[in-house]
Amino acid sequence: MFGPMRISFFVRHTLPAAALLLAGCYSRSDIDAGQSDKPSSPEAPATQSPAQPAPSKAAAKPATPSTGEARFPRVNVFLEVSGSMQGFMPASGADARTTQFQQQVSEWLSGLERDQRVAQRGYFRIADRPLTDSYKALSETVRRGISQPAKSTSIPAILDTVANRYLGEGTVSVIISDFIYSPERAGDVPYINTDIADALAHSRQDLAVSVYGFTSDFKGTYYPAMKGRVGKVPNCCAEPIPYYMWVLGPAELVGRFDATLMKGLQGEQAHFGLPALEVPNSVLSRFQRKGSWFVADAGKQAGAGGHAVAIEEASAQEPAEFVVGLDLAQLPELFQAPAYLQKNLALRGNTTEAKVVKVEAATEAAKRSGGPEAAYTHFVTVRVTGKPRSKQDLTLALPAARPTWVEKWTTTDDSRPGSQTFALSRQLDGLQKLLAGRQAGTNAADVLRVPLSVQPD
Amino acid sequence: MKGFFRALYEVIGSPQPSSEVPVYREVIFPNIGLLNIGITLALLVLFYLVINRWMRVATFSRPSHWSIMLLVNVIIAFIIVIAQVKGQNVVEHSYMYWLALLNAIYAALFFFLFSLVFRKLSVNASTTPF
Repeated sequence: MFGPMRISFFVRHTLPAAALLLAGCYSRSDIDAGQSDKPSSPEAPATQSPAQPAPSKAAAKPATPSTGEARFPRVNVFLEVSGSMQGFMPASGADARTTQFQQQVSEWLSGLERDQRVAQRGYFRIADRPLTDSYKALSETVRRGISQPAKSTSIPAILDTVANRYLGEGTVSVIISDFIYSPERAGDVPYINTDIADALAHSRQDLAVSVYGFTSDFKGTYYPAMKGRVGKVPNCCAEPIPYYMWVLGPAELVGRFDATLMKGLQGEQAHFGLPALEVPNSVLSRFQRKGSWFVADAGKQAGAGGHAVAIEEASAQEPAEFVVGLDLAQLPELFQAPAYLQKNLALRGNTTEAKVVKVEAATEAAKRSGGPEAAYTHFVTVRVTGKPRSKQDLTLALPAARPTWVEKWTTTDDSRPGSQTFALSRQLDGLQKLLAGRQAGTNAADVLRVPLSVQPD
Repeated sequence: MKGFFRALYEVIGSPQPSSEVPVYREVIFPNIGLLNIGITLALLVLFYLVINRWMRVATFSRPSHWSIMLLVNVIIAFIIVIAQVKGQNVVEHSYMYWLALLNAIYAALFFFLFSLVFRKLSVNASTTPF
């Protein structure tokens, strides 16, 4: 039936035409290839694709290795052993009662000594200058009490020494002290912040300081900063007394140190000089959504996340709600507390119609879901109560506000010892002034920022 | 081209559920549109050229035979939408069936319109469907 000429017509014209048409269609392999070809923009570090969450997560943060493989080349520990510290470390008698200081510090020291991620450790007692010690001797001191109290050293002098001589490349230094600083003249109290800032002024440019506050029983003589009325308070104290651990070092290392070795401590914390972090984040297109909106930059993968939300309809009565997933595992613990985040996370932008309504930590169910939400530790729900007229850029930011506990822990007169420290807020003011000024170019005013946008569909 | 198919398929409203809008616009609309046109053309070539010109089959050129081809095209158009939507793992929604129905209607329309051209190329069926 087929003449040779007719077959060739069919083969030459019809088949190629059909092949062309079918080749124009997308297949799943095209889509996957297209996604991996796309250069990952710095603003969108975690555009998660559900089919391959692991590789894209790894690609999202190449600069900061995940907490599991964090390495600390050197960690120095400085323990103040002046007379004022004796009350925290009393020589344990027959009753063998210990203070919280002894328990917490020896536990922490032991954790540091055992930690595989720390390459080198240095232990020092602070007398008039830091004296090299061993782990064994230092933990003995903490447990059995100070045998020979050193002469008191002023806080700025300690900071100056540590910041200039013990903060080499890759070094984190931890100072354990009561941080009671009394200037030589009572009239110099208003300059405490300046003294602290001066002491650290010539330290490395990327210095960050994290302050951890704890309280402990105190059995011994208390030396108040204000020596006007009472020189010292013997047989102190009924109330617990605060002590502090200051973590100093390069900002990147301090951030990692906070997230690993300072984890799970029962105290308060404040952080200074940490740079604004780019945490892995994404708007989750299917997770706990409300209303009609879609992720405009989701691309070709069903259920993929993004950073631009196109609102189809929203009103005050029927708002649209979308959830932003954040991975905050590399932040200090303070910034991982949902209550703190709920209070402080703010949405900045040129609109009043978008607000953060809820911040939650990931539940077990979310972690095991296998969906894109499994990659995140926290979920921020944003409510939009009106359809935007044009594209609006928003920033989800956590401002580096000084936490409220600092004021509560501060006193102007510590001649009656209590769980407050003399002029603590002034000391931290000094830190803040110095370190915020240094990092002005890198938005040190925020702990983290996530760029988002809302637009009409 | 994406814009064209988007306009073509969004006459019944925006895709549902709205979380999957980008996938429909980026992938599913162009896919089903191109497949629809391609399969329609293939069936027309089969009917007008292969059967009724080169093979000269004398017993498959009536309007009723043309209707059989149209029906086959409509069914295929319906099925490819279901297959494409399921293949992209989008969240289930009844919208899928409305989209399939719309694509089936387009398939019938394309089949009819292209017939007016293709019948001129045919020998046996040059007056089909009318």
